[in-house]
Amino acid sequence: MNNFIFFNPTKVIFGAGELNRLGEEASKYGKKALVIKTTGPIQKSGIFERATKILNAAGMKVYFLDDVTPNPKFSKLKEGVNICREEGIDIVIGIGGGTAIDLAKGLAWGALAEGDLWDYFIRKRVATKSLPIGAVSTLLGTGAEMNVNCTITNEETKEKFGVHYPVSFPKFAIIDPELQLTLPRKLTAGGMADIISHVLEGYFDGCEDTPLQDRIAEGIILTVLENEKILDYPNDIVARGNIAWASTLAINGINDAGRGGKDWDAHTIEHEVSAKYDVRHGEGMAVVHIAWLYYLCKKDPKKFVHFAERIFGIQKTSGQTDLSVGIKGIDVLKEKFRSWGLPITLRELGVEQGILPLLAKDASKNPEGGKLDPDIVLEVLKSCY
Amino acid sequence: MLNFIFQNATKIIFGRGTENQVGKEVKDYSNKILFVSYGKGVIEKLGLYDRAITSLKTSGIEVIELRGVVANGKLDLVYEGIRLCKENNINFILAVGGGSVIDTAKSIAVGVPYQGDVWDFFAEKAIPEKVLPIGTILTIPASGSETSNAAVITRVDGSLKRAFKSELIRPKFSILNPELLYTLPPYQIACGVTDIMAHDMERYFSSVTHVDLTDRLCEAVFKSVMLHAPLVLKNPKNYDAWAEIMWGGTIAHNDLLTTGRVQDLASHDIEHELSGIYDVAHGAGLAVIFPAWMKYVYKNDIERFAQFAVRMMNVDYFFKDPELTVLEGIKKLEDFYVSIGMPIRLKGLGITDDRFKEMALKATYNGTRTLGNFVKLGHKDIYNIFKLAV
Repeated sequence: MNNFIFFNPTKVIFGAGELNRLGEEASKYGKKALVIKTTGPIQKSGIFERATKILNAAGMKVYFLDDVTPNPKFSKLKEGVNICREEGIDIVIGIGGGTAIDLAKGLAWGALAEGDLWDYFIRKRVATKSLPIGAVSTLLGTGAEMNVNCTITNEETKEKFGVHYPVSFPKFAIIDPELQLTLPRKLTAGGMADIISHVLEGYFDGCEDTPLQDRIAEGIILTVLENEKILDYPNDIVARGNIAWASTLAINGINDAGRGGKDWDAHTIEHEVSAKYDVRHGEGMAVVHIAWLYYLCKKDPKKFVHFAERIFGIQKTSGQTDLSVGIKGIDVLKEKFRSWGLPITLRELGVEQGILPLLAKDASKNPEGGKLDPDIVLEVLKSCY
Repeated sequence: MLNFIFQNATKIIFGRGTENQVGKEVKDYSNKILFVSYGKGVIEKLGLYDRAITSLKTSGIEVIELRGVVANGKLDLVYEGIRLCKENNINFILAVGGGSVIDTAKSIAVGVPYQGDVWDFFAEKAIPEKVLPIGTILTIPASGSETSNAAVITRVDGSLKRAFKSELIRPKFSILNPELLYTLPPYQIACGVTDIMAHDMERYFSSVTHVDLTDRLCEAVFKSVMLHAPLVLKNPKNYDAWAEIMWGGTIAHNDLLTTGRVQDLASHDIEHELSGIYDVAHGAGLAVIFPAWMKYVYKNDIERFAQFAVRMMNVDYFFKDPELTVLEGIKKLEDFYVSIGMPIRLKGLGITDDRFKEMALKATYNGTRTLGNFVKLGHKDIYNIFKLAV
């Protein structure tokens, strides 16, 4: 186990009906709330109207940043920062998934930051102050409600970069599984794949002697697999609750504490895909991460044998190589993703074949990434085309 | 799965040599601290005292010491600590030790800003509104006090042992270095491991259904701690094994495993009666009481106990007779306790049956309250559990 620092002060308020506490929590931080309003099915769910009523009832004035689309854009960040500054916003509230909550974090530090805001994403500057942030999670996978991650796409430069400032922990995170009942099947499935991929980045980081972390990771994955029935029975609120809490814990630091602390390579590669094609992150991960796992397994299959046994009960019998057992485990996971209705090739995501070399090159240049070798990335991308 | 609120803002600084960062961490809060620890000897022998003081001095922090904490922290020392803080205008407390040291520090921390007697909080006459920040360097795992919201203090006149809880007293930071555990004696190691496993099982045996995720997390901590205990007993300098137990001990008690479920504290409450009357180590008492409690209550939820047996004790499921699965699981737990040198019967603690009734009545405040949530136990039930532990 490596040395680590674990710190996560976000107050989690979990359970059906807990959205009603939004006003009570948010009004602790002031009178003016800016709510991130994303497009898509969430608009029809009525949640923004409900949230507004609840905030108003707590004596708060509500402002909106409208028309926010998935893979939050840098132009929207700047627009939101202007609202914060002009209106004197006290708290920024993200309602939704990673798009809304990541953007809320960006606005919150952006409002108090100086200079060109993109400088912060390219590591020229560091933010040390932030407005308070509130999060209401209505999606699976992102985990943004209980971490500091803020990933933004610059539509001019076609770059998708993340920053992780300690000041960006939401003050509170409301996780209300009731709000997820209307999620379309595909978003639920993508979220489930995303949860698994968050856990697996650390699980396969090559760090040895992390048995407790591994069991925690396996617990999270098994919880998702054992509750996959929510795809067919979307109203099973308890099963949703189990997956929703697993989603948060997959990326709140507890799974990674004591591991190698390496960069999330599969995510770095996927970010190139979703920066250029605007695909849903969870669907992108389902494709890219499986391909990345095959690559890792061929390099060193030992941990994959462990994974195959612990997760899928695949026993290694005499005469079988580690590689063949490891590959079998990944095959089963890929089959799972397919059975959930997720894409398993880049082609299905609409990616053009000719662009693969550019994706590989840009992934290797990502300031967040671990200096990936573009040749290896290209080979991986080709393997899942 | 139930609705819940979870917040634990203690910053964990984990790993080799991390005590050398204590000065840097304290500096965010104060230039003058009260340093609380055991009597001279324990932390000096570890070299911890010198390293911590050097780190603090290097960061320019003035240190005033309060030494002499003993097992089951005493109220008198808390009063002395409050006095020292007030006289010297101290506004940060550093606890260096295990649960009793940390709980002493927490009690001082709520006592300093309070006008009345700090015992008021323990007697439930007052609720803390202000508190000094505290930090810890942990030298004994299991109590969980390094991130918890609770403190337990013993009042010597009248021998009252009481606890209070407040979100305000969670430490700002806790430094966990497994190397500091290398000198713990084997019996204390076994007691600590048993205590951690009991914390875990008290959360696992919940009557709330469909709590898959926290089931899995409980299983993760339980198995990891159980599998590594023999390794540290064999080689007390096995860093990686200690790391599992130390971090597992924190997670078992930081409220994460309780999210969405209700815990059952009956075994802890029953054990407190044992260690209240007899001079029994808390962990050793739990090794006796927990299996007896299981035997007494398992019929209320055979499936949950079978899940325990299969997933935590690696028992094959007997499809024709799930009850056999359960009993085999309990047996394997007892075997494990024996293997690490714990008693599993009251006999092994030198306790006979002559005070069972008295303890059962005391535990239930003379029959006016029940213990536990998985099954609510009255004094007759507790008596029967003692009987099963003979």
